[in-house]
Amino acid sequence: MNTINWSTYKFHPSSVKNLMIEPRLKSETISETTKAYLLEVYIEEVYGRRKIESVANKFMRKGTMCETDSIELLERVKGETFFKNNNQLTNAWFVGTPDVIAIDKVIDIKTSWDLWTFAGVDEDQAKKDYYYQVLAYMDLTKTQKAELVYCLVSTPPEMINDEMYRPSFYMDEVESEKYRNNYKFDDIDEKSRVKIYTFDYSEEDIERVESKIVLAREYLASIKI
Amino acid sequence: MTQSIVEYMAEPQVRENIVKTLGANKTNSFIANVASLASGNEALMNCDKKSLMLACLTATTLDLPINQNLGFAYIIAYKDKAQFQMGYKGFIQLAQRSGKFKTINVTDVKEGEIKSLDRLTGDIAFEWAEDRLKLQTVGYVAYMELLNGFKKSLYMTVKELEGHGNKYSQTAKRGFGLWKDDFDAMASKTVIKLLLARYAPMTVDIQKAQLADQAVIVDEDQYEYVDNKPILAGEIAQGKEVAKIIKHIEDSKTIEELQMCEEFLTTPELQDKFNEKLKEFKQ
Repeated sequence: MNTINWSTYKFHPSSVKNLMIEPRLKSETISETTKAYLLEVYIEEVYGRRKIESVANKFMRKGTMCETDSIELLERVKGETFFKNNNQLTNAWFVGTPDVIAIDKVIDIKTSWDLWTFAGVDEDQAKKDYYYQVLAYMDLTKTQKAELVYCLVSTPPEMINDEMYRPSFYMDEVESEKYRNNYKFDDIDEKSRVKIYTFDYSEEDIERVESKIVLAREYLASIKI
Repeated sequence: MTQSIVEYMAEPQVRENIVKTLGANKTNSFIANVASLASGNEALMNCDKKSLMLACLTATTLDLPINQNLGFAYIIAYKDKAQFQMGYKGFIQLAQRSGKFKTINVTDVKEGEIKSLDRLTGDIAFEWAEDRLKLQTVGYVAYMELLNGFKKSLYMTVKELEGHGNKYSQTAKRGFGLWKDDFDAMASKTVIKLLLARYAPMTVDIQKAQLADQAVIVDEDQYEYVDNKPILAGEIAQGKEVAKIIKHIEDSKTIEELQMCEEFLTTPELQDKFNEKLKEFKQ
């Protein structure tokens, strides 16, 4: 069991959206969804337990395994050179490792699972889902611009084998091969395999995030299980 | 430029180790065999050279041919390492050579061929079907009889064998590799290997074959069972990242271009490559 000083606790940019959900009742300061999320944070930090589904799923696995492939696809499409950032950054509010830190912007890479999920990415929804995450990254890197980039790259063979393992019990090789193609995208024009959405830094919004973090820290300090 | 396996084995210390293990007479033919094996297999060609040499050396010291088509021993690329795998014919060969066996054999078992099973003695009575090829395979049985009269068989169902493959092989778990491509050979090997491990008199060679099977040979008598390890997304990601930076260094046409990757040199290998290229530019 760990003892945590919650008054200085720093949040990962990807978790900030969980803090920004407004409560239903005006008399409340923190929403029920935020409370449920903060309970997970508490259990992870104090007891060292994290739900396996939050880390071990195929979408995240592909994202990790193919991040460099996605960066290379972006390089070819934009004609620029990027390298994956491995340095963890921290300030008074956040701790995180942005995917790519370019000269004038920070880039967050999302590797889509397949053609259907890539095609289903909607600009308005994506900008809403990831706004606070990229805002926190801009704050960490002190940049005014950010890009959220969705890339569609082929799935590693190990993962395709995982996907095809059960179907192979009731399919012959020819049919199985046809479906393996659902995970390979090298035949599709590279430009149509990248979606780029841009964001601007907002001082006003970062202040709103900071005030929510203060409330979250107070709530974390009050949790007892 | 990447070093070839022949160049690696020509390095004085490496060659000296081969000569020490095999003797001067066998060294040149060994090098030729390894080169021939690698030249026909791109995945092996790109493997870590030491692991490839040591896997082949293990097969040769056991006096088993490394020609994959013969089925005595296999050298297989797994990630970036060469892995040694015994074939069931290899285990039979080693058992016969010990001079202690009257018979050793393995066969598949079709549905309806098991007549009775004595759980206490482990004895199974079979009634072999005549037109058996049409029947479904339900298991595999290995049998041995020693010259001193000791007899033993080991039977496993197809389901048990699949479970064994999935337990000990990450590639089998994912539905590819030898367990998927040649289940008959892997199942035959498993029952023979377990029969020998449990009941046979252990010779030095059989013991070595048991230990080296499915391992990357890290050093003499040091084995790493890589296929038994999970495929970690982080490791794969790191490998791709390093490869990307190496390519950037190699393709850089100016110092400025080269220096773009300077703050991302996360390994000593990358740092060395960077320094080497920088030196080239400054000359």
